[in-house]
Amino acid sequence: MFGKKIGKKTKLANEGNPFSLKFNPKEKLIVVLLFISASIAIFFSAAIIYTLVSGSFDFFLQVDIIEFLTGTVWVPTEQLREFGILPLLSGTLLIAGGALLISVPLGIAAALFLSEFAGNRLRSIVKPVIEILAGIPSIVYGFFALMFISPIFRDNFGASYFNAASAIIAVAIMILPIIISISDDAMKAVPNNLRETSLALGATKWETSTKVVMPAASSGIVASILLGLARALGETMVVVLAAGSIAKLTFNPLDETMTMSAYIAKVATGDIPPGLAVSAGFAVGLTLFLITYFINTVASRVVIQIKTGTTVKSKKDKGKRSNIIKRIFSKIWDIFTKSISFIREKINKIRFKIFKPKPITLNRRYWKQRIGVTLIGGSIVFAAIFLVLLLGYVLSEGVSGIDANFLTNYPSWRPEKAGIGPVIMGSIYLMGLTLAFTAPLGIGAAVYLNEFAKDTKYTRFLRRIIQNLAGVPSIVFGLMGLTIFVTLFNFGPSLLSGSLILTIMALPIVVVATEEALKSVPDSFREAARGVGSTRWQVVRHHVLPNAAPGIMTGLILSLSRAIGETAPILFIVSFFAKAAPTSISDSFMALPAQIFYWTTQPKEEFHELAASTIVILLVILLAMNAIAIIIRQRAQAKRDW
Amino acid sequence: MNWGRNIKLNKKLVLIVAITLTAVFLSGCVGEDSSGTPKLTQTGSSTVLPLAIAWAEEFDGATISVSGGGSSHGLNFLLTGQADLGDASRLMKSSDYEKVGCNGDLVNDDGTASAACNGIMPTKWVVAYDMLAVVINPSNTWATQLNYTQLYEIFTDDNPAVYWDEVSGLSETAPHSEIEIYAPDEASGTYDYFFEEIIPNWGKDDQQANTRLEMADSIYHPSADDNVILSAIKENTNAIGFFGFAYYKENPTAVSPVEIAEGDDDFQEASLANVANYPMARPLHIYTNGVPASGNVINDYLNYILGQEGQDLVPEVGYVRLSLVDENLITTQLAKLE
Amino acid sequence: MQKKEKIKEAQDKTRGNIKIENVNVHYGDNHAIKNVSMEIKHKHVTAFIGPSGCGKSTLLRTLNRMNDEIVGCRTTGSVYWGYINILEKGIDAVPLRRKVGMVFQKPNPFPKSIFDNIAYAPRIHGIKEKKKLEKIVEKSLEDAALYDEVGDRLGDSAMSLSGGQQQRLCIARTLAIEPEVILMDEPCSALDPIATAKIEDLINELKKKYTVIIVTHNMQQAARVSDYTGFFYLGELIEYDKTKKLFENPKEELTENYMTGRFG
Repeated sequence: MFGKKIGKKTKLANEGNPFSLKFNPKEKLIVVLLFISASIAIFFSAAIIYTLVSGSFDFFLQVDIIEFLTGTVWVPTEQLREFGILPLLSGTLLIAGGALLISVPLGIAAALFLSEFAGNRLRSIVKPVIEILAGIPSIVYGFFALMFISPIFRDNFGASYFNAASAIIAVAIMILPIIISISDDAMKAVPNNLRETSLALGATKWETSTKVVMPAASSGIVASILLGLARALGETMVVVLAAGSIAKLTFNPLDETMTMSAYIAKVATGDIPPGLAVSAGFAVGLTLFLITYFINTVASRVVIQIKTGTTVKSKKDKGKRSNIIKRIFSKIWDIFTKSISFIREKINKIRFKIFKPKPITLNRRYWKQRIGVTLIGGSIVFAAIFLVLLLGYVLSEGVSGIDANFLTNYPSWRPEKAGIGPVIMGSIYLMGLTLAFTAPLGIGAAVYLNEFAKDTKYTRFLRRIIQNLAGVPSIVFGLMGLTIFVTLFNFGPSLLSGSLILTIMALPIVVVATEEALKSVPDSFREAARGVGSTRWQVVRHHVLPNAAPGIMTGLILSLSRAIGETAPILFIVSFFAKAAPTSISDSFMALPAQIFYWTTQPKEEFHELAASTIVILLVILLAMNAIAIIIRQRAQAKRDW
Repeated sequence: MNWGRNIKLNKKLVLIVAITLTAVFLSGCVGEDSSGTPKLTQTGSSTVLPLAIAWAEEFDGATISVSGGGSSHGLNFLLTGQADLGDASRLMKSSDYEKVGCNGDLVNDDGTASAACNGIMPTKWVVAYDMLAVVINPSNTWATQLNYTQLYEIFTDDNPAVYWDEVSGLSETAPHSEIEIYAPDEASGTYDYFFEEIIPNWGKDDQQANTRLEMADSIYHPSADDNVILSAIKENTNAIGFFGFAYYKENPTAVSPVEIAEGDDDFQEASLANVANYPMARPLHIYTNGVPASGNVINDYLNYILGQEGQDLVPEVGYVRLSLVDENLITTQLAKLE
Repeated sequence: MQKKEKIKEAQDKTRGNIKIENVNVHYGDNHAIKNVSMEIKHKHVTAFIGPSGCGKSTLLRTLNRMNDEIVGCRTTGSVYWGYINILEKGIDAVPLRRKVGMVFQKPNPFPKSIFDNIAYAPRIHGIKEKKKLEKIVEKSLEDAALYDEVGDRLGDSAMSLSGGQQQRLCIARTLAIEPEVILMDEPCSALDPIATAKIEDLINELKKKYTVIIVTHNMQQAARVSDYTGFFYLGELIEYDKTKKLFENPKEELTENYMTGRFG
């Protein structure tokens, strides 16, 4: 990476040689900076792993790991010492799994519609609207789940007051924008000539979209699902408010239950004195981290299999020397696909015994298209309905309380005087700083990994570590930030610390989305540029980045929207009261989501109304932020030639 | 038209402006607040938080930034020198000292310390009281008065009652319906305080029983949010729970209060007038590093908090002023500050 | 619906020449094809030549209604294939494209296996049995002169083939659905001379069974492979005749100038 060694022979050859390998300091510097960006992401992943491992060290010394992994009771007190993780695991599986079950088909369907069937104008309206869903603070989802969704299950299905079902639905809606937006980007990035070819072979638009475009975009689609899963795994607020705060081994959505992330949050934000119960929290965190790592590994293999689309055994494979794991995985994948086709054949045989097999006529293909497009169009409508409901809920409570005083005063303890002026400033500064850190770091890391680093086991490992960060519950970032930025680096509870924490939290989404965007730029662009003598960095800067811009913007929008609405990561740093806005990055600060969180937990109804009004303002700011980013993305997409 | 050049120029200009602004902003890094008002940091218990905010706002001798994070967090920051004032709804324990590497034996049972830790000498100040209200659903007519024994039967795992009519003394009046408990989770200071009151030897090795929550028998539904607990009890006829008095005071029609007796029948209602007799009233604390000297801004602040003006705010926020519990608390603490 | 039935019925009656009558194509304000009329001979190879931007690709794409996919493109006139005017509003492009296949300039295999690339279209059109598909794939690859090279690795990704092989794969893909007309839009421009030669040989074989229309900017190629040639300039058909005649004895001055390299 730091250039070939210039030996004696080469040096002599270089004298007067117009093609000699010159040392290009600017290029080298840029590569180094990019390498540092990638490394920083790894450094913080390591920091989190370190936090989790050191925190759970005591736990594993005192608790038998078999009991931990197989026990069915979780009552983590000093006296009772029931440390079986299965109840928490079941809760996590139930809620995250349930949410995925709903949002993946819905999300991909909606993305398919947006990308392939919606006109440009419709798409340019719908996509940003859906992305707003990503920025609604999770506390709003939590209360929405508790107040509106939960009663439906209580009244009609006999669910308990706290039930997993309400959390499942709320989390499904919450991760919908991630899946829709990134999948849509992936599909839009499929080159048009593939669509043309398919159409030229006599395929309908529906067939082209489902059999050519979607498989070609599978890498991006899987990435979006993983990010959605990660968010679902790390979600705490909705679970804590609507699903319950007690561990229960169950797969019944009508039951009360708690997830691994929720337990970690309880331990971190509550008042349990240091001891086994607290280190158990770290142990759970470590387990969650390992689980997401495993899932990411499996998923990346799945993508490779889908992309190369091997359905016919190649005779040539026998001679190749391959990785044991690769072979095992291919075998498993083979068995998987073979059993699916086997089951299909069997079902068809039975079906055809009863009904005569209908030939595939043009008519039927068109009906398939009509039904298909209606269904996926319907999914967009469905997502939009929830958005309207959520917004309606928020606005109905909050709009009336907004006036000039509210927007300028500080958050007084007297509700009639209280306002969010300095809080708004705090959030804006926080966002600005976070963006300033996240953009170069995240994009730089992705560029380094995708454009400069060789594809080795090491880089793939790095990538997986970064993806894993997406699944870490936001409270863990808060804890890590507390130890490292506030205490170790001595930045104190300041804007600097806050933005650094949010940066790390936003990083995975930006890196993943950017990488997908970079991958979608065809290699021919790079080859063409190199062919005219551009350096690697020039290729990236002038040819790759501009074409990857839409996807990159999506990543930034999604991650910053999330950052502006989260309380947990900055919980230990943010102030809940100050009379003025911060004037430097070392000042303490207030932030909108924290204010919302504080006011909703107060007994006085007037504070609840203030919270509702604050949520409205938060959404307005979010909208403005998104609008700017979207305009930039729109321009970038128009410039792109395909 | 040489757009290329113009754009380049603009980019450079933008860069220069951005750098200048950043420099100005960052310059705040060095040096203190130019306005001259001393700055204080106060952090800790979320129960004390609303009080801390009110005092910080009304006290004009300093700029105080207030944050939450829990009693443990507050004490931790105080002991590591990162905060001037640590709010705690509980007493300091040996585990607080041990967490920062000091000898836990130095912490006394009354929450004071016999020796400093890392140069910090945590000093306890009682600033207000919080009453713990036990509440039931408004249509619950049979459990309006409960003594500690009955609470023990409902809330612990020692021969617990599953149905309302299984609770001793309620077999005639109560229906045969399952008890539902909606109350704080084990990470809450309120939880800790409640069970300290009704379970003998709470927190020690010979603790007499475990809580109903720990039984995990689907009777105790915990929540970290007191407003949620309030809603839950309001919705369920067989519900019972507890939380800070302020939540009941703000919603007197949503739930019904339970009169509590420590003994057999000395039932006390939860109200400001009755706080001196009410068995479940707990002190709220602020810890400082040593007794601040006269003239020190923290000394002024504590004087304000314990004085008439500061104490006048307490009932407005929803807690109990010291004078209603014990006048001496004010005078002895003020004396220390002279 | 009725018209869709009509085309099915007429498919048997479309064995014949393709009569292009007064076709005009506009891209927005750009009048790309100006009143072109010509008759494409059945089971022969016809070449469209002319300088860049003269509209030959556009005319080609009119014949399988690929221009429908482009927003803002208006086509007027008629293209008669047997009884049917394929430019009529009621005509469904989907079944039309099964009969009129297209090979594009840049090889664009799907990111799937070689087998799946070729089996893609037959599957869509209703053939599901594995044995049948295997037969079709084998035959298409043979007809495209590619089977010898890839027959033993049909499961490999199509992206692993060389440029020339990929283009022949695209041809095989088109042959798999048994069209009657094959449109080729500069199929060799991205290929090396040897691959080009192979494809030119292929075209000579193909014309025994299919009507082939090939757009090319390479005059020598047109001279080599085609029976008829049309010379286009700025959207107009300047001259259309048997290839031999056109090259040896062009009637129009413009044609002669293009042939002799005075422009283009």
